[in-house]
Amino acid sequence: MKVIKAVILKELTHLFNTPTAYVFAAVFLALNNFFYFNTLFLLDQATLRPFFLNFPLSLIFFVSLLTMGSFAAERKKGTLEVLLSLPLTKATIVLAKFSAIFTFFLFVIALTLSNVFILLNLAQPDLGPMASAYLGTAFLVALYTAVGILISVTAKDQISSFLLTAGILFFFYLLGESFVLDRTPSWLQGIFTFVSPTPHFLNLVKGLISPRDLIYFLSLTIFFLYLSIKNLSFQQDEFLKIS
Amino acid sequence: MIIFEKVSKNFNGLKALDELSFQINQGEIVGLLGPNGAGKTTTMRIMLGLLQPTQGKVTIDGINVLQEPLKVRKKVGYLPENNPLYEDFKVGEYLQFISEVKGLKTKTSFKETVQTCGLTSVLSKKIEHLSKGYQQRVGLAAALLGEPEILILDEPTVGLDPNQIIEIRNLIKNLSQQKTVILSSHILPEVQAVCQKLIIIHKGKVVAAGDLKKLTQGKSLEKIFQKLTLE
Repeated sequence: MKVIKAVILKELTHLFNTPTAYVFAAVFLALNNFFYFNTLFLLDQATLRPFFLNFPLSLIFFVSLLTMGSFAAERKKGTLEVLLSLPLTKATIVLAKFSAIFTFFLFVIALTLSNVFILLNLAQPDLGPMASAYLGTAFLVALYTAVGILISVTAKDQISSFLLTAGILFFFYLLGESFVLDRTPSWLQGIFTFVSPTPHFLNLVKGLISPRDLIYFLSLTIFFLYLSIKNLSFQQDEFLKIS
Repeated sequence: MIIFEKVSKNFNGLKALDELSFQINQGEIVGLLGPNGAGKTTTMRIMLGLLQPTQGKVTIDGINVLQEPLKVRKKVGYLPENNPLYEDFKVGEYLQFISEVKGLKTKTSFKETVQTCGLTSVLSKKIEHLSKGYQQRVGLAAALLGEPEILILDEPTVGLDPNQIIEIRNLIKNLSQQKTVILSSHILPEVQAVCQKLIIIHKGKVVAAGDLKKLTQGKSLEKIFQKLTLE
């Protein structure tokens, strides 16, 4: 436990040592708040729902950006060899990197709680769906991060890691979008709705906490992390040959 | 004791090591010599369990490296080639991270390592702001933390100026009084200055191994090296 904590702290230190993290947090908050407050007064409803509706799409960009370097950058700099030469299991390395990025996102998303206080000052919003939406956001971030880390383990460099992660996540995002579902045969609609994270996330935004959605997010996140650990072992020869 | 038994390593059909066998006893300072591409780095990585041999067996103090790499890594301090470091970290932050991962029990041994490597005055400086010589000391300190019994140093003086080379050499000499040191290099005077024993590798094979004095027998190491590796 002490060891994984040390690696998580190292990852967080690295994140906060670079200006990217601060720029990232500022842009993420500015963009999402801009779109939200643009519609809030037009809707005239004390709800955060429009704010969360942007997340499945905007998080694709931001998670891809933050996960692209998790392994690809370490491999390029050669520091992955240092990490692998320490008495650490592959699982510790992958889980620590995942936890650090996930924690960073939780921190950034926690900053949006200010919007809840603004709404509480303006009206009497229903806090249940808001709590459920924040839970959904955490699950969505976890799933996206696990996919990003898997791609970063596999990709040759940071740019290809970013493009692949964003591309794959965008593909699965599209599968859950109504304009795609409307043009899909009914027998495929069920599959698309199940496979895409967006409908599961939207259920949580509505305040519907069902075991089906939670199992979806949890099982896929664990599955992608498991694949990352396996892939890290499998590709070690390749990493060290390149570095 | 480190034992390599007929270790071979292929990379996509290309033979990097070819039935490599040697033995390194406790407390020895061994120079792993060879031209570029001879297989020195691959040998060191296999020693640590970072790479899996295609064939053969490697044991360190009776522990099979392939089966129990974590046990081995607790015994070994490693300075990789080109000394990759987290340059955005402060020296203290980086060494603290390494010592926590290695499970350092006392603050005294952390302080001792920092002092031995002459890093006390730069602990709060960022690694990227240090000279190459100091960065090399940071890499060495990271390898030394956790009081490893074996030190594996891959080309520890590459890219340093003559003064820095002498500094690092002296540091290694001092360290080698208590540890088994394996040092890879193709800088012959360096090996002569530091090592007692030599293993010369060429095209993935051991072409000579033994006591430095016995191998040279008063002749120039440069000529012997050329004879063995110029084909």
